[in-house]
Amino acid sequence: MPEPGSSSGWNAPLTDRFDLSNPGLVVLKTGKVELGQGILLALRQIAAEELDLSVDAIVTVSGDTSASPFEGGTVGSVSVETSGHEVRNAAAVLRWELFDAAARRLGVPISEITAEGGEFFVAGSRSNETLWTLAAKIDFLRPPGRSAVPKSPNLYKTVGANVPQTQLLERLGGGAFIHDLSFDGMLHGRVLRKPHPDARLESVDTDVIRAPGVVQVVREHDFIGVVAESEQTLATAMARLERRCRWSGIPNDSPQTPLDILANADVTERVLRADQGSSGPNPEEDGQTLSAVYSKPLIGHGSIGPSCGVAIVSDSAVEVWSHSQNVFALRDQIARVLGRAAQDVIVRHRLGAGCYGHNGADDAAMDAALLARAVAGRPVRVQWTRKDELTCEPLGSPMRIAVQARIRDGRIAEWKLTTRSGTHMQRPGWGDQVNLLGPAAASAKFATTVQMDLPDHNGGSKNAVALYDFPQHVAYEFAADLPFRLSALRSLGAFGNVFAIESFMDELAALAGCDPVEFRLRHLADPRARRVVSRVAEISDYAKPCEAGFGRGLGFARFKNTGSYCAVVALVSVDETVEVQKLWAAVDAGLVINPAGLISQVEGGMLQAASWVLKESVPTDGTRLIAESWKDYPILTFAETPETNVEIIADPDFPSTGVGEVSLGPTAGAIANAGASAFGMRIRELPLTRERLMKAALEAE
Amino acid sequence: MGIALTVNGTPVEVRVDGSTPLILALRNELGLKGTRFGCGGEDCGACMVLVDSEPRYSCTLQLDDVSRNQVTTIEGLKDGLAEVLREAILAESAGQCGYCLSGIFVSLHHCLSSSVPPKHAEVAEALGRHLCRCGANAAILRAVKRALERVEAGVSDA
Repeated sequence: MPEPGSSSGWNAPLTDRFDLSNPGLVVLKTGKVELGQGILLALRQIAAEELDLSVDAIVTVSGDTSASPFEGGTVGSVSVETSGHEVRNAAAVLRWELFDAAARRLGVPISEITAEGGEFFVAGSRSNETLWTLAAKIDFLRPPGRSAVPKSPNLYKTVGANVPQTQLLERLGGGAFIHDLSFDGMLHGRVLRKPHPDARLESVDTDVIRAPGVVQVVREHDFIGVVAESEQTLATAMARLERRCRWSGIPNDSPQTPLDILANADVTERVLRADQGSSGPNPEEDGQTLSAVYSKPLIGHGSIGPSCGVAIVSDSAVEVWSHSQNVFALRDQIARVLGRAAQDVIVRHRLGAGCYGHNGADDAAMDAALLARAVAGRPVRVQWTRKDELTCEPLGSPMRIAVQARIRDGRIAEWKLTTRSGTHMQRPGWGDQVNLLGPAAASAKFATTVQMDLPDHNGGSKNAVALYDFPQHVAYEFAADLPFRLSALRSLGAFGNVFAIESFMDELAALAGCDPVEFRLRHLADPRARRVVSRVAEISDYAKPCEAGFGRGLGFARFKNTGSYCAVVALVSVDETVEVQKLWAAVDAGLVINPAGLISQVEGGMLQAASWVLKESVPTDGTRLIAESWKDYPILTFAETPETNVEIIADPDFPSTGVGEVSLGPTAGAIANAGASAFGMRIRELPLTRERLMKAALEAE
Repeated sequence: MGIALTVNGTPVEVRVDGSTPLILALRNELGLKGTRFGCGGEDCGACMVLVDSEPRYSCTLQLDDVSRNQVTTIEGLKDGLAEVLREAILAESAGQCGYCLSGIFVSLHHCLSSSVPPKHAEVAEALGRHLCRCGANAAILRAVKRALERVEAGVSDA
């Protein structure tokens, strides 16, 4: 038996990736997990292509720490790029081994053998051999000792095809989501969340909670939770518990916003890039200078389904079901907190609602494990409330981006950007800390004490360097002590940084008296970048004048400056509020696996960004999060949804790059620029609310 | 004790208190897991069911409120119109994670099943009860358009 969860690589035994013991089916094992982004279908298409099978013949075992290869988290829009590449190579090796076995069994040279639909043919005639009879002759436990060349992309039939997303229909019924798991004897549990991270539980009267059907009240320091026979009994007990807990250490109300707190925070500065002559405009020199400050607030993930987890804890084993993005990291932290060996803990991924980054999924799983420990052997299911989601999940950091530049002869001669942010990373295990709410409440030794961001050009400094060709000075001011729980939210710092860069490009274009598209192309040598910018301008009639009150705007970025290219145009109208009428995008993601899936991801990012830009800001009172329901944290509605049009510029000569996060920054830039054009004034603080527009209009009068 | 209900046309009895939210009885007592909990406060529409053919939030209805009514969940929508909606969702890839989609399906089924094909404003009102966070909104709107065209062509009667 190979060690489950061992690292995959070109020489990994075939059993790490494949199981062909059921005739007619190929089980593809993957450490990547389905988050609604369609990754499992894409991986099945890649494997099906190499093996000349229909996609239906490939089934996946995904995100199971006892059976899947270790592939880290399903994060950073790299699953097709990295795991897709590995699956393709592993399938190519399997294909070679099968053909080799076929040649020996059939006594003919490999060159005379072909395969289709799992059957093998010699010189066009069907043989008795199938994928599965031949697989039985191959040692799946042995490292293959060789790599194999995958199919040439010009032979692709399945990769690049719009294989229908039938999983959507399967999810319409019951049973598809983690929330639907049910076990005999399953109990329902929930943890009462602290009203503030600094709060201490002074006293609690647990007697009043005890009632028929209440199985356990679990308390350890500031951790208090209830386990009950039914969800209804649990809800009643939790409501009583909330009234009977006395907390101390909750800070007083404060008018300071998260951005005020960020502006006054202690920071450490790192220079990310310092081109010659880029250090910032010196007013003594010639040309025209401009400076501006942009910001984005605290933003939440806001999954429609609440975080959920199920756990069974017995003396010998711990089994957990979670919609975590990284089952391996979660397993390690559960083992650490429960004092178990990692191999005694199994975490299995089940589908949750879309997460868009590090939300409460891991917390809910850990809650379930901590509560299940108190009722040994019985399954405990935890499902958060909407209020828990809104006030306890990790959030996307506020950011403040200051830019200044000099224009000389119609070009940017100097550019200085300083971006300031809290961390964008506090996943389980990051910085060798548990980083989960339950354990932190139960014991000081599991509290998060150090906030540390991802390395340069990721986290808060992702896309802080512009892809444009001009001398740049780029610095990152990292605030390590922000009093909020911050972690990865879709595109991390790229959203704020690209919003600022693309807004400022339009401001500089105006200063230079140049069309914004022409101004960008003037600073953009990369042909793939030029192509998406030009193409989106074309399909959106960018150059066409707008009626009064309407405006078009463009935003562009290459995600993390090494990933996919995306340019977006927005058409907006402004009449007290900003309304997005239409969004267009052109995307170059290299080799495309499933065009419809790609468009879904890009379009989803555009609409989520529209929601962030127009509406979203986590409501706070000082450092307290105060949203009670969706009414306090409104997101884009159907009535506010613009028409969208995404065009793929497919170029199979370039390797696949991810698209899950590519469109958010460009969309922010596009809407902000369109809004400024329609309104005649620019709002540099997100979201672009009616209040901000009115205030700007009043100040201008 | 026990509360008698009619769910998807079948009389059933659930052995829980009458104050239990309908969604919990559907999911936990009757195993009808297609109805999804989202917010518990009538803000997101993930829990939408039909009560006497009208869309209602099952997270705030109590069993006592519906014991004399016909409750229909997504599992009970199996007619030609449901097939048209499913085809439209597939054709437009109208969804990503799919968590919000069951509730939206129930509302759209109600909206499109009226004798007169609904106007844009009626569809907008129906979808106004729902939230989608994946940004599949535009694709869902395209699927509605496609389904409406089929309905207007009389396909769902086939």
